[in-house]
Amino acid sequence: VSTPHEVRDALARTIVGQREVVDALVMGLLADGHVLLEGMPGVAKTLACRALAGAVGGIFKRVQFTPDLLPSDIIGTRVFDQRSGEFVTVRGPLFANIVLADEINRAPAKVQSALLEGMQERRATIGPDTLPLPRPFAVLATMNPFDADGTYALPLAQLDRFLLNVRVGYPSREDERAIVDRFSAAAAEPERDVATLADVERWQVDVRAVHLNDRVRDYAVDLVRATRGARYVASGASPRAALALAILARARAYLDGRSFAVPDDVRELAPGVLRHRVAFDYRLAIDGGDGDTVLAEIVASVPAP
Amino acid sequence: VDYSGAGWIRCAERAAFVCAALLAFAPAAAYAQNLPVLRITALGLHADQNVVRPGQSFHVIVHVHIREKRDRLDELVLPALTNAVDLGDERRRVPVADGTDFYETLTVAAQTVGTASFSPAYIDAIDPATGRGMRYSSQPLSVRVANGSTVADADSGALMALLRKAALTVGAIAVVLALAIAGLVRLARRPKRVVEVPPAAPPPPRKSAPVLDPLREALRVYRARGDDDSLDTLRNVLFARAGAVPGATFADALRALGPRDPELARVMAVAERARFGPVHERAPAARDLLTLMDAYLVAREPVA
Repeated sequence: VSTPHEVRDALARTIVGQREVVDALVMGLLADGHVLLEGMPGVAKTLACRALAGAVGGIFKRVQFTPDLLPSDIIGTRVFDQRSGEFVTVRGPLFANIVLADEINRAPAKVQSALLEGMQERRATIGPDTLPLPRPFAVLATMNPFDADGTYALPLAQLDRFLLNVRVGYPSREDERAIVDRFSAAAAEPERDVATLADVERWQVDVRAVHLNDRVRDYAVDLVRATRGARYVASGASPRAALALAILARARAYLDGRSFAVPDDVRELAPGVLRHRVAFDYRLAIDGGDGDTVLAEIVASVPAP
Repeated sequence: VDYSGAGWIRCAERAAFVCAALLAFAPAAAYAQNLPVLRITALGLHADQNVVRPGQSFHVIVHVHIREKRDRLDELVLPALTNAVDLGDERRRVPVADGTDFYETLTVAAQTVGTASFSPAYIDAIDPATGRGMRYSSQPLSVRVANGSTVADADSGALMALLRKAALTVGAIAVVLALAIAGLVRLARRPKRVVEVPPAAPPPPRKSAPVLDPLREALRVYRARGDDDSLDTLRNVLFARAGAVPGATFADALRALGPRDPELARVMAVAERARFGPVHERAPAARDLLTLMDAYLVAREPVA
């Protein structure tokens, strides 16, 4: 029987530095949610996703999102079987345990919405067949927010389906040296089958049983409510954000070996949960501010219990 | 009604805006209308030869049956060719009792020895049963291109290829089995994990007692009342003692404390459990907190 720590350690052995990214991916998996990774090319976003998929076994599929991608390239299609004389359903890459949607903002809205519908409903319709997606199921999407040419911005309503949005920054100098030492000689080879899919499903059940005190719940709700009407905020986070904060606080506590969530869990997770759910108004750009600073101010304005 | 010049200008502006909006939405509407509503019941792809020689021409036939009566089927996307050249194509429409059959016959010639491949033919259409856009696709097709003076030679080559394929499959199964056995043996030999216990932290040097009165007072109130409010007050006093600013959380207090006072860190951790833990853990945690606090305060009593 494996533990989530073993998966986290396996990822940490593959990914140099980026501890927050590793933790976020494991917490997303524990919370049975989807994770959006934002960062410059070459900061190990894809490698981190591959490492997670390898560590928990199961079926892993990667889809490189491009402008000419079609919904059927993701969901699947109906192929005519000449022997039986009937159309048969051929499932697309969405039917996997871990789906890596690489550069999700490079595909048009129709493809994005097909993927996000699958993420939300946990099932996909191919012709007359509505098929459940495998369990566990997680979409890990990457996005390069700086190279906006030829991209299709994801609307807030669709971004809301991601439990967590993680900013993947550049590694420290020490880490970058370690990356060069380790990977210039041999390609990165993620550790495989550290845990099983059954383990993951068990952890997900255990996470739901982690205790969330009323005061901690209220703190999560107050944080989300504080985003509405805050300075520089055009539209605040939805109630789904409070749900996400609660389940992720439980996941963080579980990963930390606790049977209860504490205010720190909520506070630490708040930027990642709120970042993609809050729309900032034009005055922020005029004043030269950035969203994360505004979010930090909002979080600081709500007293922790 | 404003018949003045300004009124006419406003009117013209509105009309221009409406026209612009219609023009802007027209492509989207047109795109939605592009997909035909079709009940496709067959979409086959086959060749009239299984094995051909380089340069030999043969036919690849795409057959589509739809339930609708249609004159044309422009939406059919023909297969892409690999290792074959397109010499021409012919489309035939056959009206039948239950709809329409379309036959697209491609005349192609194989290029070099190996395989001539044809990607699936497909149609994007709206399924009337669900009202959703859908891709209907044929299977891909491969035709072997062999170097034989006759097709019979090529057929014997096909037999050899089949045998080679069978041998490869058996070999692959053997390799997988060997790997599985090797994995099991390795697993059985794997040494048991040794749990490393970190060395116990050295006891802090005994110092003269600092001012503990707020802590004693908060503890006294908590011992007397035992409610959440008094526990919150006690936590805040503990955090302040760790060096955290008012409104800090446990993590802030730990950061402010650093490695200075591990016992205080332990007391704060138990206080968190007593405050936020599940119901069945809170009472034991509260007892532990009182015991730890007493020991903590005794250890810091001024030496007589």
